[in-house]
Amino acid sequence: MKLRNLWLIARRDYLAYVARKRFWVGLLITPAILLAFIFIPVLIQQFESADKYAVIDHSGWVMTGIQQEVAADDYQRLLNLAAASARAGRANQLPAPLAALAKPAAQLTAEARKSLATALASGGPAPDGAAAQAIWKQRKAFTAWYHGLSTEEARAINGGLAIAQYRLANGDFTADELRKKIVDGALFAYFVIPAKPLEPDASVIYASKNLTNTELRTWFSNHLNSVVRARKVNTVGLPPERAAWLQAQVPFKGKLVTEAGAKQATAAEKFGQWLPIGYVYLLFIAIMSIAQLLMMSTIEEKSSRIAETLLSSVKPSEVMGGKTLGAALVGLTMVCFWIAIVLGLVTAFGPMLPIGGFAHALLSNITAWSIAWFLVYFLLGFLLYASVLGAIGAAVNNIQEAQPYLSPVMIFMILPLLVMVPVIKDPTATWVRVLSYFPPLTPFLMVNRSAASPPLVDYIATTALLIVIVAIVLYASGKIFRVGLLNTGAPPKLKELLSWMRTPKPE
Amino acid sequence: MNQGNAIDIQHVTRRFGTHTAVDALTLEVPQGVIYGFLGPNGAGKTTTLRMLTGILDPDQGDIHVLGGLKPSAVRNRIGYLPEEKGLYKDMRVADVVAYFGELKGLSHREALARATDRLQTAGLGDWIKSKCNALSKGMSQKAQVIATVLHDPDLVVFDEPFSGLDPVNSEMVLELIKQFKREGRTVIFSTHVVEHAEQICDSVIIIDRGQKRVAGTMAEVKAAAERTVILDYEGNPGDLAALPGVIMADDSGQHAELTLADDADAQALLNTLTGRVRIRRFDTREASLKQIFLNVVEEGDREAA
Repeated sequence: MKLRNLWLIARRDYLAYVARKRFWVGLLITPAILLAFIFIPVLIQQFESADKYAVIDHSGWVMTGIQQEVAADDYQRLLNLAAASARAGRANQLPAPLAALAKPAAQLTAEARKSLATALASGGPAPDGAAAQAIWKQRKAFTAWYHGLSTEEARAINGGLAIAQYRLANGDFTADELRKKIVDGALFAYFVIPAKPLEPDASVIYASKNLTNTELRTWFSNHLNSVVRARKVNTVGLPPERAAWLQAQVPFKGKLVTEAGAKQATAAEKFGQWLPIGYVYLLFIAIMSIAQLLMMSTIEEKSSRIAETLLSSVKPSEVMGGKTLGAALVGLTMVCFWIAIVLGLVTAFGPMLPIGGFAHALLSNITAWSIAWFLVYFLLGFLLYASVLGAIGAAVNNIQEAQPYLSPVMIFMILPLLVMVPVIKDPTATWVRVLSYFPPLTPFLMVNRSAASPPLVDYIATTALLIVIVAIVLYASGKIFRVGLLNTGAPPKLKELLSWMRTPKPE
Repeated sequence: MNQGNAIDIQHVTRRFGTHTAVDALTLEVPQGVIYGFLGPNGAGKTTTLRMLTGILDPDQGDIHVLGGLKPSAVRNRIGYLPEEKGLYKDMRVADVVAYFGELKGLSHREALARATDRLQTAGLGDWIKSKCNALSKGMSQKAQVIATVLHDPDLVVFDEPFSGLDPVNSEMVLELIKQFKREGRTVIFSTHVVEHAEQICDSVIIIDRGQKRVAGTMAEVKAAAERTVILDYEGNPGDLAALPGVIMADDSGQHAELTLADDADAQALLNTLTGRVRIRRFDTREASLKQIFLNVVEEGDREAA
């Protein structure tokens, strides 16, 4: 194999790819699509209507308690928001009734704001302290404003208010009326609270067309249980501190076990556990798009009858090697371009956005070890998929003929995406370990597992196996390439492909 | 084997699966001639040319070119224009032509300089910077021929260079082939249009079903072919087929067509006949290459049947 020929072909293919406008458009569109995937669900949530629900309360006291709790939670959020805005000097951007409370709210502790919110919701007792009293005096205007908020207004405040998400339909309804409203779509769900919720076998009915969306039910259940528990505590005659102690949850602190020993996980480290998903995406997009580029350019050379001219000047192995090298350089260009975009965005906007912490986490989790393995898997994965797609490109005359061959390859190509999230949740599972010994998946799964520091033996054994398979596939596809480039008849059947692989090597 | 031969094919066989495309072919082509490969479609012409240019290897036998060298070892001294050919649509004309030259060993600078120069000479100066998909079919063909010989090869191999060309462009290719000969190159081309071969070839080979049927200089091929005499006469000549040198006679009384043996002397035959009958017409004709070609193919068909 002559290096000069290899290089000439690689250079032409590389320049042909990168000289196209659509290459650069694609480079920009891919990250844009990824961002869209992240932000569109958030945007959709913005425009979703609030879940409307109704309650039939046979007990006569539970719903009152729940409404007080919900209001107290929202008041606390509003007071916190007002305090934070006052400290940032942005109180004037708040709605007027809230802006009026901003200054005194900023003077209160978080604890004081919480008890003040409870007092406001339950109508007393009046709080101590000048700042709290200043707010207390405006309670009528404030609570009236809160209860008058529409869903859109509540959302615009952007304080995570419950009324921005769940809306209680007021009025007395029978179960039949409510059922009809649900069928009509006027109502999302209704609850029926039993007459004696303190009884041991009491249960609440949750009725909805949609039982898969459990957000409303969970939210309502938390508040209902809190109200019922408070009543139980009261009935038993337990002092409130004892009750609080009884109900207190024991907190859990995440610790990350590494070779250096266990330590408190930082935000960056917690994020780092998810980082491999980004790597897998990057690996996937880079490998699949350039392997397809290679296939398309091989098909172009066949369909425009350039292949035979090439073969009269250079060996088939040089054509295939040169094209593969060219495509690999395109992949490298893509990856470098994306890294440059990310680093550029982080430098430009990092200080302004929460993305700053993200970038820090990103950078602190990138080690020479992970980059080295990423490159190894990029190279091997690319060679594996590129040689298969290149051989397909050489065997057929146009993209339509390539479809039947591509379908089985596609299955291997989307598998890594399907298992990506399950793997990241349980990177040490046996099935993950077994699957990573399956060569078409090895590059993706090993990168996927990297957060859990897989044993070195897995790195070495899977890579060795992958190298053997890559060598076999390269050899076989080289044979197909050699025969296929000159075959302009009907695309070969599987049997013919196998016989192509057996043709002896010339010279 | 003559060391000075441009091409030396010895007992070469090439199969594709069960099909034998070239069957024990032997052929020598001296340097500096124009050599025509004739044969019907599927005769094995393209396979032979591909083996000559190192694209395919023979299953059996030996091929040497340019004085005893393996074709794959001297790719840079061979220029090959396949029957089906093309250019990269998105590339500029001069760049494609230069690229093919570079693959044949020219430096980037030299290839680009030659490409620009020769495209201009060929009247494509305005298209040097255009993309290839802007070229008409004839212009594209011209550019491909220029690319094929950009590295000034000693052996030029054209596969069906006239297929799909209008008379003007065909004439251009014919002129080019003659020019290559004047420059001392050996030109091999295949065609199934016999007239083109007859016009410019020094030597030809006719192959059919992978086998050599006839080969040699144009004069040899024609001399080897059977000659016929058209005879119009009055009188009784006796048995025409029994005359010396005649192998077959189609006598209809006053008109006859005589087929002569290879070594027959037409003059002696005329003398013999003059003594027996009154001759109104004695017409010896040399077989045309086309007739030879058709005879060969018919013969092949008969053998196959």
